[in-house]
Amino acid sequence: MMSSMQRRLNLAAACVCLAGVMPGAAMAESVSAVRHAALQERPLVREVEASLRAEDWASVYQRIEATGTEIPTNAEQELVAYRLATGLQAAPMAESGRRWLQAVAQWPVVTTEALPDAGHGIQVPAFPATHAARTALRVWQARDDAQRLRDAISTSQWPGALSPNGELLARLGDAEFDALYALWPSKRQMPADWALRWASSRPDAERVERWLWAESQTDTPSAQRRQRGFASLASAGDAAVFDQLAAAVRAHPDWTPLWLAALGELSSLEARRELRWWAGDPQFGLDALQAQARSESGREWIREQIVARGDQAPEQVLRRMLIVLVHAGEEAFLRDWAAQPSSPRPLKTEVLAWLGD
Amino acid sequence: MARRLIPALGAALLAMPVAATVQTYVESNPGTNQIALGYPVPEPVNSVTPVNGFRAYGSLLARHRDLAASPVIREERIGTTTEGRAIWAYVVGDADTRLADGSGSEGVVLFNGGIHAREWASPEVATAVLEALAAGAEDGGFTEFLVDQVEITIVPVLNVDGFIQTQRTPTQVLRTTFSGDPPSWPRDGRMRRKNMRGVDAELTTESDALLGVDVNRNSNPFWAQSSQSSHQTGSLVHHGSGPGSEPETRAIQAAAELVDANRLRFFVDIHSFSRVFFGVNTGHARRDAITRSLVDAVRAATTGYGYDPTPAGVGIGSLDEYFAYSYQIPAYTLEIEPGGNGAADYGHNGVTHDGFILPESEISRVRQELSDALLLGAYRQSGPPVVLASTLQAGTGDMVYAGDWIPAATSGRSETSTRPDSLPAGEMTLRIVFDRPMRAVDGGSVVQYRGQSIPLLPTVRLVGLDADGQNIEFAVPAGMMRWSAAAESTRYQADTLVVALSAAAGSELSTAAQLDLVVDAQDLSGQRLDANPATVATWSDGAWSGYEDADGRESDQGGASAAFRLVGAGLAEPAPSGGAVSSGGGSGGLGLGALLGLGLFALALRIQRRRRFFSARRSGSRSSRSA
Repeated sequence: MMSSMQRRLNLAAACVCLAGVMPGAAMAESVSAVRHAALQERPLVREVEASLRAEDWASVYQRIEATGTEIPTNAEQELVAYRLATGLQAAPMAESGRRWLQAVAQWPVVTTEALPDAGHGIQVPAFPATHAARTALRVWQARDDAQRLRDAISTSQWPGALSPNGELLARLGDAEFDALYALWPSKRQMPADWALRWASSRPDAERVERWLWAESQTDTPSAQRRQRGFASLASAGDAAVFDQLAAAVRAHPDWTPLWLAALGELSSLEARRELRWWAGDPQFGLDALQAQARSESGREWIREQIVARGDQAPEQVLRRMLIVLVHAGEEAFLRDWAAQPSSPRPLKTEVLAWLGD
Repeated sequence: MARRLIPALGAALLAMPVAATVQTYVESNPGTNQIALGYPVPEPVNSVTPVNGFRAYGSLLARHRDLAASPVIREERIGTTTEGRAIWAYVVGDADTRLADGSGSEGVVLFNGGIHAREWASPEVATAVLEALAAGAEDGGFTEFLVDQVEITIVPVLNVDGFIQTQRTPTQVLRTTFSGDPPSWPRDGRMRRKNMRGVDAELTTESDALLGVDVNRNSNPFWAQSSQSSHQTGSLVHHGSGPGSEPETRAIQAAAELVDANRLRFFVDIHSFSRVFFGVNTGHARRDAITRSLVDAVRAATTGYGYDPTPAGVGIGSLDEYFAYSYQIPAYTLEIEPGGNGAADYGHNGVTHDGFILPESEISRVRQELSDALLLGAYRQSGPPVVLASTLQAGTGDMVYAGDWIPAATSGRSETSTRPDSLPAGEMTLRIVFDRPMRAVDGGSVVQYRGQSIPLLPTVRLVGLDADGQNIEFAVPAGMMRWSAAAESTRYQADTLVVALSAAAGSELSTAAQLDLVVDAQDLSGQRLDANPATVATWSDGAWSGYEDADGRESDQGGASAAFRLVGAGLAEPAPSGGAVSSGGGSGGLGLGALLGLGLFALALRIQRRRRFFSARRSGSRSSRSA
C-alpha cells in the first residue's frame, strides 16, 4: 500500500511535471470517456437499464420488439442492444427472444475502440452486442440442456443431443451430475472436464480410465485441467489409482510435466518416491526437481543429494538441482556450496550469476 | 518481493482512479463482478516443459537456464528491473562469428518477448524459438544451419516485473476509471500492460493501479511525438519521463549490443493480439522493400497474419521503430492471434480484451507455428544462398571436374578448380553444393517449409560452345535432379543437388570445348542465389552488399549463377550477362522450344542451340569478372 505521504508526493510531482505539457494529448484521451458517459445518459439507455434492474421482463421484451433486428446505425442503438442481450441471459426464455438473439449474434460490431497495443491500435468492440448475444444464446442452451438432463435423471433415459460444455457443467449440482454417469451412452465421447468431475467424485479404476481416455482424445487440451485431475486423483489415497495414473503418464509423455507438478502439491510417500524416480530423467528431470523444491522436505532431499552425491551426479542433474534451489531462494546453501573448493568452477560461476553477483 | 517507494511522476488529477472494482474472470455462469470468457481461464502452470498452457515465470526461467547448458546457448544479464529483478537474454550460435565456410561474418537476429505484461503468448513463443534451436542444434539441417551461420539473441521476458504481476492475480483485473479509457477497459492485475514503475504488488491499491510506463512507448526516435503515447502517468500508453528512461528499454538496447550491433539484420518484438505484423518504413527504399519481401515469406508460414507498415517519418516511440531507424534493418511488431474479434475467433463469448487471454488449447499450435515462422525469417536474413562447390564424376568413379569457391585471404571467395579439356562419354553425376539446406526435409522426403510454395527443384543448365565454336545450351530435366539425402549431403541435409547426366560417345557434350554450369535456385524461403560467390553478401546500410544478380549487378533479389566452368580454359564467369541466365529462379521458363535429340544426353538433357553472338557476349563479359 502506498502511504498518504507518498500519494501527496506523487501528486506534487505530477503538478510540476504536467504544467504546460501536451494539453492536446490529454484532451484527445478524454474524448472517449466523455462520449461513453454521454451515451449512458441517453433516455433510451436509462430506460433499458431500469427495466433490467427491476427484472421487468415484459418491458424488456417490448423493448426488444421495438428495437427489431436491423443492424444499428449508431453507438446508442448498439449500446441498447448490448444491454438487452446481456440482460436476456437471466430472462425467461421466449422464442421471440431467441430469434432476436440469433439475429444480433450475426451483426457486425458497429462501435469500436482502438486499443493501443503495439503502438498501432487494435480495434476492439466497445459495445459488443454481437458477443453478448452469443453469450446469451450459450447460456440459454445450457439452461435448456440442464432442464433436459434433470428430466432424463427422473426418467432414466439419456436425453439425446446436447452441448456438454463448461456452461452446462456449471449449472449441474453434484448429486444430479453424479446421477448422469450411469446414463452416459457408452459409445459417446465424454468431454474431458465432465469425465474428470465424475472421476474426482468417485475415483475408481473405471472412472479414472474414462477420464484418461477422454484426455487422450480431447480437442481442448488443458494443462490446468490435467494437473488438477492428477492432483485430485493421486491424493485420493488409493494406491491402485496412483499406479494407474503413473502408468498412463508413461504412455503419454506430454502429460508428464503436469503429473510431476501435481505430485509437487502432495506430501505422500508415494508422490515423493515418484518425483525422485523422475529426477534423473533427461527430459523431465527438471520438472521433477522443481516440483520437489516446492516443499521443505523436497528441498532438503535435493540439498542432501548435492552434498552427498554432487561430485558423482551427472552434470546435467547437478546443474538442475542448483537451478531449482536458486529459484527456491536457498541462497545461503548455494553460497556455501560455491565456496567449496570441490565444487566445479563453471557451475559456481553460473550459480553466483543467478544469485546476482 | 522488493517494493520500492519510487515517487510516481505525474500522477495527474485526470488520471486518478475512482471507484475501482476488482473483477474476476470465470469460464461461465458469472456472478457479481465476474466476467465469463466462455472457456477455462488460463492460470500459470508450474511446468518447465512446454504444455497446453502458460508457464509460470519461474518455470520459464528454469527452462531457459536448463537450455543454456547447451554449448551453443549462453545466458546474459542485460538489465535490472525497477523491482530489482534481472532481465535475461539468451544468445544462440556456434563459437565463432564467421560463416561456416569462413568467408564472411554471421548476421545477428534479435527476438524480444514479454514487453507487455498481459500478453502471455509472447514469452511462450519467444521461449519456443529458444527450445527449437536447442532441440535442433545438431539436426544436420535447417536448425543446425541457423546455429552455425546466424547469431540469434532472444529476450523471452523483457517486462519481468509486469509479467509476474499479471501471473500473481491471473484471473483478476481492476475495473477502474481513467478518464482516457472507455469504461469497459480492465486495468492492472491480469490486464497490466505497463511495467511496475511506481506500483506495488497489491491489486487493491487503487492509487497506483494505473501507474507504470509503457515500455513500447519509451524509445527514440519518436518518443512523445504521437497522440498514441501520453505524458499522463495513468495512461495505458504512458511514455515515461524520457526516451530510454526505463530499465527494460535500456536492456533490450543492450541485448542488441551483446554480440555485434553492426551485424544486426532482423528484429521482431512479439506481442498479442490481432494476428498481424506491424512494420516500419523508414524511407530507405531498398530496406523498405526488403522489409516487405521478408515479412511476406514469414507471413506465409502463419495462418493468415497480415502486414501493416507505418509510413516513414512518423511513429509512437515503439521498439520496432527504434531498431528500424537506428540500425536500418527489417524490424517488426508481431501481434499473435487471435484477430480483432478476440476469443470469439475460437467460438467463445468474445468479451472485451479477451484476445489477451489465449485459451490454453491454442497455445501449443501457436508456439509451433510462430517459432517456425520466426526461424524462417532468421534463415532468410542469414543472407542469400550461394553455390559453393561442384563436382562431376564419371560412372567409372573418376573425378572429371571439381570446383570450389574458398575463402580468400582477406575477404570474399576465390575459385579453385580442376577441369578437363573435354568430357568423357557415358554416365556422370554432377553435384552442386550450396551453402545451406535448400529445402526442408521431413522423414527423408524433401518438402516445402511451412507455408512456402517454392519450386522443389531449381533450374540447371549447361551452357557453352561446341568444337565448332557454336553455342549450345542444355536444360536438365527435373526428373534427372534430386536433393541429397542425409548421407550424401555436404554439410546440411538437402544442401547438395545431385544431377544424373548421360552422354553418348561422339555427342556434342563430349566434344564441348567450353561448358559452364548455370544454376537458378531459390532457397527454402524463396530467396534467389547470390550470382557471384566471389563477393560475400552482407548487410550494410539498410540493404544487401555483395549480392549480385545474373548480370553481376548489386541487387537485393539475386539471380542465376554461372559460378563454375566445367570444361574449357579460364575461370567461369560468375555472372554472365544476357538472357541465357536471367530467367526466373526455378521457373523452368527458358523457352526451350527445340529438343534436339541426336542421341546426345539421351533421356537426360534437352538441347537447345543458340549460335548468334554468344561468343562475343562471353568474351565481352569476362573482362569485368572479379574474384
